[in-house]
Amino acid sequence: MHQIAAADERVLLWISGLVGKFAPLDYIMRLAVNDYFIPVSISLILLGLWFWGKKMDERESYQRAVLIAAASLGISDGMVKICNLFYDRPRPFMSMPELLPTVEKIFYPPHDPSFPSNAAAIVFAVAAAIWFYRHKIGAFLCFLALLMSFARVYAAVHYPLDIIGGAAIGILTSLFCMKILFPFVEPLPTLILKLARKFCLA
Amino acid sequence: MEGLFVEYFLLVFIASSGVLQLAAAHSQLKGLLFFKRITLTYAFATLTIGSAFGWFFGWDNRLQEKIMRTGLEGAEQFYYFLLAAFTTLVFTIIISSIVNRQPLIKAEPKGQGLDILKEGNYFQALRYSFKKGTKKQQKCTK
Repeated sequence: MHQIAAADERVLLWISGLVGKFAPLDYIMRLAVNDYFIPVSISLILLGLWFWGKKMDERESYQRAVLIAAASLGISDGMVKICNLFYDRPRPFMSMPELLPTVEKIFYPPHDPSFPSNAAAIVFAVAAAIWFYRHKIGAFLCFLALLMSFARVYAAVHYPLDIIGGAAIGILTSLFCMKILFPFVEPLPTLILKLARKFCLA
Repeated sequence: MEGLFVEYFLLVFIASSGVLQLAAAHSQLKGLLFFKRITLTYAFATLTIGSAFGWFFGWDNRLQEKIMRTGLEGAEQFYYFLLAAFTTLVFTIIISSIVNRQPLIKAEPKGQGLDILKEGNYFQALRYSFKKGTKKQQKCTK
């Protein structure tokens, strides 16, 4: 366990050690790490996907993916909050105050528990849900999720294990929604789509 | 915080109007388009999405200062996003219905839901969708 924690810390220090070395990389990471750029981009992609597709079958598969993504997002957020009740891992800059200037160059220092990463859980939940239905757009969303996750370690606000934990929660949640929850509540998603179709919104 | 809310709302409102136009153009939903020419629609979409992001992240040293220090909570962001996206949808429906006010539906349109928007504006489609439902019900009772 100690070895894993030490390796986690070593990887964090190596990645966050890059801060301030390449100005363009700092700029890209500042863009990727903040609370708006990637979350808004992903949400806009979901909005576009709802209306995407020349045929109704194609559109319906996107719409089901969007519904699963939305449900996974909410559930994974709840799962992270439950994890936080039982395990409060301090942020890297709290255990290593010398990292605080690094954080402040890229992001602001958040004070909620570090493990698991809420941001990673949410973006991976959405990316996985879309990937199960449409690999190409899902792969692009996974790239955005990886970029945001890397930026969180780069900015020293998360350990790599926090990201892995968050991503695992997100992916497993979307898998749960697709394989268990949605088939279980099946008339409901179809009814939602039918209602939206009646109002010419699906 | 209030200023940030307004700016966030504008970002989502402007960018999502571009996204909706892009999706409508790709899906051939003519009844949702602001322009008759498809190239103009793609240009509008690129311009709105690009300018919204460029303004929000590039203007006023925001990336270095404002959004690094203050922020909307995750749940707040979600609600504001929904509010802005819904406003955009209403805005798109109204503008596109004015632009496409001539009756596009000549015969009975094929398909249902969004597919009707390939042949008419939103309000024509809505009217047709409910008329079709009533006809079906009447047939069933007969």
